[in-house]
Amino acid sequence: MAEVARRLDRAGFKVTRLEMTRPSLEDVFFKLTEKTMLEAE
Amino acid sequence: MNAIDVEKLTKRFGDKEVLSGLSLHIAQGEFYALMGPNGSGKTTLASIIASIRKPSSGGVLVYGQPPKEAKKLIGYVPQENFSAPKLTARENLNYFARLLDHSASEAKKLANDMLEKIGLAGDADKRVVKFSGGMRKRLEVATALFPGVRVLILDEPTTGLDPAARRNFFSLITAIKDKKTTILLITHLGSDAELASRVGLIDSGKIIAEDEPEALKRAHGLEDVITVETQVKSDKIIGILRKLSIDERLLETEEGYRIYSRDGGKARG
Repeated sequence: MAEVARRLDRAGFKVTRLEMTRPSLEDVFFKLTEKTMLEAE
Repeated sequence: MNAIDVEKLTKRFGDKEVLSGLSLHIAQGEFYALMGPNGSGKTTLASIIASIRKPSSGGVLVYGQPPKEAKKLIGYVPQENFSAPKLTARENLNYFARLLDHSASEAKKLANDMLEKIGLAGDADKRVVKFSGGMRKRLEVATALFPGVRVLILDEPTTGLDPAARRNFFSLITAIKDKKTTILLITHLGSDAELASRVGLIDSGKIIAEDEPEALKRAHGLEDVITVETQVKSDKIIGILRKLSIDERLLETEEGYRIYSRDGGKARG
């Protein structure tokens, strides 16, 4: 992530937002059941 | 020999089947999380392994023995608090040690040792009613981790704890448990389950998926999403992002760029 910002900055592009969202185990459960942890209760 | 073997386990309450032919094998020293919503059967399974309930059919072995015969190997911390609020931490530990047939002098020593290990020595003589939720849960885990315990079952142990207290709780468990102690964590929280070496997802009384946390995500095609926004947009930016080998799928959005990656870690360069 830092390397992305560094390379873009070096090339003259100002980064205004850089973030990574990781999937959760709740996402896996939803993919398998089409239910959230709360919906399944 | 596995720490826990569950084979084709079924449990019915009246007409309702709560566990449906569930099988599960947990190795010695493993930290296994069973994750599912309320009503999925996970607490029923834990209570059968802990010898509190009997199965309708199928079998459970703890270190090769039926749970009833392996009781001394099992420490069970249910979701509800069970420590006596009007007793002090020391008195609670003494009480549980005596229940397990330790002599008065052994119980006193065990209580002192556990209070040190769980960081409550300074609060040993405070009544439990004065404790925070995290302190009380630590005390209750200590009562389940007396010498000889080889399988620690924790049922939703972090309910009511804030994120910092939850992290501290699991750090403590890892620090005080014997390497050979197996942990079975029952939870509905992905953030807690991710700390385990292996996760089983349970729904309607069946394990629907089981693997290491990251492997589970990958096996089901879930990707990290990296969002990059810049003051201006340019094809040069796409070129730079591709050079960083993070271009498994690069999408240009109105605001910037979105990268879908099976391993966002690669983006760290």
